Amino acid sequence: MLKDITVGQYYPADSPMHRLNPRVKLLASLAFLAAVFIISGVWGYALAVAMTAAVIAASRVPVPYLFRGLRSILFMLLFTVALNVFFTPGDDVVFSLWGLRATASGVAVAARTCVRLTLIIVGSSLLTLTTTSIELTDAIEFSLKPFRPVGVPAHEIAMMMTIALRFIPTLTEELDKIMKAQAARGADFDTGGLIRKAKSFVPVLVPLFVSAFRRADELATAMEARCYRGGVGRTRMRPSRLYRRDYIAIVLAAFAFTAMIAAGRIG
Amino acid sequence: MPIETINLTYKYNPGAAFEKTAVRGVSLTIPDGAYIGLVGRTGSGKSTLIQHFNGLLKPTEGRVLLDGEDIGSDKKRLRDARRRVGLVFQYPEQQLFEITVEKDAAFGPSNMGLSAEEAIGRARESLRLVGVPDELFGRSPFDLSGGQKRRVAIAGVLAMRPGVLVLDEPTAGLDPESRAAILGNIAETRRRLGITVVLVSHSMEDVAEHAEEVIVMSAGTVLTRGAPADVFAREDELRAAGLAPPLMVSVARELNRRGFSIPRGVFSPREMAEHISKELRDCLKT
Ligand SMILES: Nc1ncnc2c1ncn2[C@@H]1O[C@H](COP(=O)(O)OP(=O)(O)O)[C@@H](O)[C@H]1O
Ligand SMILES: [Mg+2]
Repeated sequence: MLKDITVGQYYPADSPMHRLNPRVKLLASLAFLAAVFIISGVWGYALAVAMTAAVIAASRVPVPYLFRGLRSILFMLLFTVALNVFFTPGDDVVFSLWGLRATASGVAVAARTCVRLTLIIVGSSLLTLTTTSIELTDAIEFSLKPFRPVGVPAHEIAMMMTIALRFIPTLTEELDKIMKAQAARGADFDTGGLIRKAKSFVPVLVPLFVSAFRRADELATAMEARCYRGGVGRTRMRPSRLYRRDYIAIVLAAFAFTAMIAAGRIG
Repeated sequence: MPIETINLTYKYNPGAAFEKTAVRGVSLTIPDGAYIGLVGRTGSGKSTLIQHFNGLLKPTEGRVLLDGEDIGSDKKRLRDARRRVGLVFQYPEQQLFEITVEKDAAFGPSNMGLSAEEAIGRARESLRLVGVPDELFGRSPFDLSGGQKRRVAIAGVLAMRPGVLVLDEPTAGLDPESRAAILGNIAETRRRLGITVVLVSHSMEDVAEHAEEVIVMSAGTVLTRGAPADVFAREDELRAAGLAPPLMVSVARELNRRGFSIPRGVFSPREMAEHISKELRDCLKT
């Protein structure tokens, strides 16, 4: 069940998207998200969808794999659509259901919201699917750097993210092991009411937290033993560099976003 | 209550890119009352195999019979299987969670539907059986030493009064003294309760002294099984499977190469010393 979530996961492959500089990818993704909110008109949406399709093709991530991640937000998507269809005011009633009236403008808003949400999810999934967590945190640290003068701890945030990402699989594995060990002692995690179910997780959560704290402690000691003292003066083993492909990507992205936004204004 | 696996195969993440066949086509029987040592190098599939014995894992292919019946996936049957086959995981002290030692050991029996007093009663009985002193019963399990914690965790499984006790690497990470003590406790418990014991280990040393039969696993399959002395004698095969025979077996081999005649089945230093001194005395006499 935990394995079904593809949002935030990395898909190992060798593609132009994977090779792109992570900083460029992150900033382009942010620009894309912003553009998705600005676009309007059929042509604007069509361009955004076409551009996303092109990026999917360039990323070599299998389409079924990409869309499996969407299943987890399907409920949210349907909920938003229903809300928009039935609660957008207007006189142009298309049909009514259980006393709720669906308006034509509601359907239009719902369709737009649906496409927008899908684009946002697919766009951000594409970023994480083609970027390792180390690259991603480096990119985040880089983009937070301008805010350091106003007190944003860019390095610390990046380090915290790296550590969190590193330990998610470890803790998932451990959770699985502890649940099995308690099941071997007759623990039952899926019968009874809500309270009984919540209670049945105490024997799992206590050992999980004990172990998480122990790991945190050990990690802190190990970092101190290697003289970690924050980001000041730290250099990188693999400095981030921009290649020709990155410049090409920047130009292409700038062109595509401008076209996306302009299409809506014209059409 | 014999356990039987028929052509058991288990795959992790079947169909995915990270598919891994951990156990392939294993058919074996664990007879009633046996003390079996299940050995194999790390990653040979021991832990995966034993999690089938109480239905924690479902075979990808093949069957697991408990008392001649398929464990299946019926809830009541599963529950029954978990009670009858007590499984102690590796590093079982990591599963302790209760406020006191005796409450933790009572977790299993109370899950079986026993009253609180009955459960505590059984917990105390099992704690004493594995050598946890009475004055620790009311203490927090998190305050105990590593060896004591592990005993508490083993008692927690014994308190369900299983007919088969399966222990996954019960000596991992313990100091030599605790290691010997725990192995002694397990053998003693088996003698008193007459239960079947399956002891999993990557070290032949752990099973040499007490096990009546040794099953060697390699790359998900059963390489060989037999009496300890017979299995340990096949040193080349064992080494190929990434295992080392017990120290005393190697010592005996080296001595015999130099003219001694130490018999097979000598696993303890004391026995070895007796054989050597006897042969030396015989030698001086003639
Ligand atoms: N939860 C899991 N997911 C995927 N692979 C696993 C998992 N547990 C074990 N494996 C793999 O299965 C094989 C057998 O592991 P295991 O049964 O733990 O062996 P052993 O107990 O003999 O060390 C190993 O290659 C291991 O990497
Ligand atoms: Mg193991």
